[in-house]
Amino acid sequence: MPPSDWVPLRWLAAWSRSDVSRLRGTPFNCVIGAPELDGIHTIADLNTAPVHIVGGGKWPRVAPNPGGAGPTGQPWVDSNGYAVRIAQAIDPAKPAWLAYSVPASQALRPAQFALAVCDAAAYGGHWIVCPDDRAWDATVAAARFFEQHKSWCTYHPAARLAVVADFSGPQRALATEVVNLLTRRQVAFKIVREKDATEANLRGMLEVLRIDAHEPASRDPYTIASEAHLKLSRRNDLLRLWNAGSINSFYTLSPDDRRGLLQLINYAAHEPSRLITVGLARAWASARLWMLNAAAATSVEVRRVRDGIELDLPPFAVYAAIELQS
Amino acid sequence: MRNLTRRELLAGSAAALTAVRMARADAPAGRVAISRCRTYDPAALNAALSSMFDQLGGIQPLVAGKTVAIKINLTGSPDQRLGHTPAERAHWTHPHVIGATVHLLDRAGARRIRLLESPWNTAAPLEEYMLEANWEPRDLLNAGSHVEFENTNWLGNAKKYSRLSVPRGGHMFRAYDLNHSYADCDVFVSIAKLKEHATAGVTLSMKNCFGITPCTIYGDGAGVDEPSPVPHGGRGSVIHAGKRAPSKSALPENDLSSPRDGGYRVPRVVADLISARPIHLAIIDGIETMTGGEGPWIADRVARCKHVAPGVLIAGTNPVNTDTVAMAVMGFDPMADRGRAPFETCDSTLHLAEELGAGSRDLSRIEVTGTPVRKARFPFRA
Repeated sequence: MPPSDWVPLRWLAAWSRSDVSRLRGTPFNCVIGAPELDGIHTIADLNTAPVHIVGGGKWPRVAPNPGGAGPTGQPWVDSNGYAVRIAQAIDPAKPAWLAYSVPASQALRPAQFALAVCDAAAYGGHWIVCPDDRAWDATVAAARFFEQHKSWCTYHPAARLAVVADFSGPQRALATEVVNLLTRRQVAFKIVREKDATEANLRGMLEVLRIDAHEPASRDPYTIASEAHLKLSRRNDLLRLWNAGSINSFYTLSPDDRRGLLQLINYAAHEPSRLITVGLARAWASARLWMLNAAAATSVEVRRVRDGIELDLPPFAVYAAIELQS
Repeated sequence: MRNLTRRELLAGSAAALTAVRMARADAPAGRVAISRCRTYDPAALNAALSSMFDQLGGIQPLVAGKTVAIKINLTGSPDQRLGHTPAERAHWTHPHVIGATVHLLDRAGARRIRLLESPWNTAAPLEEYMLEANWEPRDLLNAGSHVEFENTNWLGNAKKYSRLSVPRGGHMFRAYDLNHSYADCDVFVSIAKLKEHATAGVTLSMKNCFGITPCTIYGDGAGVDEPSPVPHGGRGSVIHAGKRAPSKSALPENDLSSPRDGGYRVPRVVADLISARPIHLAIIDGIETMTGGEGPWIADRVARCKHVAPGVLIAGTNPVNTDTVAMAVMGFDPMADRGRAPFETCDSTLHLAEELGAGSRDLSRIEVTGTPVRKARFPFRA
């Protein structure tokens, strides 16, 4: 089984060999820190595994905001999707895994474990699941959803902005944070490494944001992200979200560009989202909505607005995906 | 200090009442037009507004050959909607109302029309803000022969801010330092939305002008000594709560011992602003709007926030008169003061503006043309 098919889970020290039965019928086929197990790939030492361990991973959540959210205040979100995307750009041959632990001493809900799965899987990565009896069913259901939609991993980012950076050296932190902030601004962008910044790879991009060795590390990433978006102009947004709040988005296209996928990850996992409206610059003909625990997708009314469309979504707790057809 | 005698007390009260009555009697009272309009169809809007302007005596004498500045209402962030209801149908003035107004002003001979707003937390062009809300700003630029936008939340296209003084010294500040656009105009128009307001009770043509203050001076992130180069945050700490002063380049508050309560401060600042920057034409979009407050962010606190369609346009050449009629249409008593709806927790902007001589809030003195108030009435607290 190639590494790209591994769905990782951390073996708990308290488990015995018989606990392997927990994994039957689940997507988890790769266990970290376990003894040899029949039918399950085991990895003793993550450092030697042919995967890219994404550094600095954090438990996804809405961070407390002492100022509160007023007429415009966007909540601060701890997320990892942007880091998964960077890892994939740096090393496309290796799957990107997040290795952070579940925070101790918190009253965590099952939805938050599902969020941890979605936060990585929506971008084609994996969180190395830390099993927890409080949330086993929710965790398995989330992982199973993404296994059932593995074909979505072949899609590429819809983009009009290219971020060109090497994510190394003194510019690494700056470039990483700019990508994080662009994600929070719902900008549809793609990441291109400096050595891959060819005419072919930048074709179709209206703006190119280069964060290279000449960019002073002291520059404010918020200003860089804002200015990039301004330079691109809101007129060229491929995607807009209304009432997004604590939601991040990832908009991708099928290899033949005939299908689209908009994934929405709600970092306030324990409560339903507000009523979200999605605006897309492309006039997709139809849209279907997937939610994590739904047996099937439901149709979403497509409303034509000038050259694009708008979709009014129902509230959802953790994750929603909209399949678009031209 | 000796106690006042009963005679002195009665004489003082009588004098105060007399002063108030004189203020009301002196305060201008003119004509306000109400039109039934249940659609944002541009043709219908053109017809309705044109008729209203005729009822007000025509706008050609007002704007011909002039530079007209129009303050519109794009409060909050463009990425917010009231549920699924787009901003222009709930808490923003609708672009078709703005466009129809621009078209009619242009047709009446306005030389230049400048659309103004101080959008939240940004010095970016106003066009970008509108695009983010899915508006097409070119429609507004093309509604007249010489139309411009300016973001007035910062210095903008000028080299310095313009200081506009408040007649009679003002309630809160003697003068306000504003973007040049509010001085560099011959005619000032306020196009507002018909709404309640969580802090000030109602937000109509006068409260719309709260947003003419740049947050580079009067905002949470304003510079201490000089204006900040770009705006950050809202006006909560300077104006609502009075926790900090505006930039020292601007005039300080008149009375630092005055209450630090938003219900006291905001209405007074609004009354000051419309006195310093008089409104020549007030238009209120009540075709579709929301109840409960001024924007979707209020919906978290106020359960009765919802989209409604009163189906009215209101216009007048005096903002106090116009807001008076608007309040009556909303089912409120324009003579209400603090403690009575909609001013349960605040002072009345209308009363404070009347005290500055800006206009009368006495509905009996205002001539209402077009649709009668009783037929246009749409109670917001039903």
